[in-house]
Amino acid sequence: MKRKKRHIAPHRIGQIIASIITLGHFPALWTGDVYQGPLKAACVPILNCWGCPLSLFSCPIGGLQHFFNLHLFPFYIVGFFGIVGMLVGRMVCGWLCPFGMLQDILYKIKSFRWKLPVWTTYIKYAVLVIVAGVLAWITREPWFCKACPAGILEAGIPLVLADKGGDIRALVGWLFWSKMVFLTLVVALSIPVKRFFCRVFCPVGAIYSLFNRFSLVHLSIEKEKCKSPKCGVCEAICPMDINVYDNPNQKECIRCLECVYKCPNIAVNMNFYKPRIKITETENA
Amino acid sequence: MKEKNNVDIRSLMFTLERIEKNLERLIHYVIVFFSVIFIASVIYGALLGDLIETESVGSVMCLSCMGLQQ
Repeated sequence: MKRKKRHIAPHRIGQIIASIITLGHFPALWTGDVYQGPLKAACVPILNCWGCPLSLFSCPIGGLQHFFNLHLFPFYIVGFFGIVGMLVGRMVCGWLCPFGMLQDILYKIKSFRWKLPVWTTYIKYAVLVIVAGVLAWITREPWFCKACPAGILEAGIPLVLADKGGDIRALVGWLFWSKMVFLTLVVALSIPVKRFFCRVFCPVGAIYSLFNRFSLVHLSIEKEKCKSPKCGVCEAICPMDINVYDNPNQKECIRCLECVYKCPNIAVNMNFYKPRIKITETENA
Repeated sequence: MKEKNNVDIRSLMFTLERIEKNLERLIHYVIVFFSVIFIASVIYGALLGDLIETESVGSVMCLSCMGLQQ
């Protein structure tokens, strides 16, 4: 029997490179200190805990909440989200996010599979508006950071484990353990559910999903190339469980381009919006 | 009569095509407009000191992120 040829998907290479760059403060491995340089002024377009000693850049959601805590409008961060969203939409979730990569890996574990009901994908908008927005403004506390599973994974657990003096361990309380419970829940549910956290809770994904229909990079499907009845390969391999055939630019699409590479009929394509100014013959007629 | 119907259908198709084309053009204008707004927002934020503020808050150990309490 022939063995299946294995290859690394391009978006996986992007995730690995992005993880190395965003978590590239390697001296922290022996010093344990948080990076305090000029790169921290820049946000990365993904969920990236700035409390992590390895982190070189700032977290956009942490920054957003910080400005809300100060009762200031976050012009820089809103503009940053807007530019990234306008350019690529949710593509950064598929190509750059280390927490997304972790969920992709977890989903490879063989187990029963569970398809999420569509209404659960709207929870992330409530998380964005209520938890990271309204509550942060009113109470002046970064409530999303207090629950963020990426934060406990990248910053909380490594710092508590590496703590030799016991100063950090002394601060471990109900908040730490509640975050641990949430992280465990997210990890456990990422095994049977494709990208559980991204689809249900991630506020970064919620922001970019608003741009998916208008972003410069988008997907298109040539339905005439699809064989009848449709083969369904694109839907089966989609990490976000979306109906690629009917609407390839849904809010949940992370543009991992798996459907583009694996379509047997080369019917799914990635395009850039081009202005169509030329008057066609029909218009002249 | 049949000819008149054909003309009507053709004119309807032509109108629909025009609407579609105009909508596409409108989307492009919206994209350009919002892109300018967002770029201006980043520049204005940088002038207000958002970058310095982000750098200073990102350089301290965030207890909330780590799930620690004082």
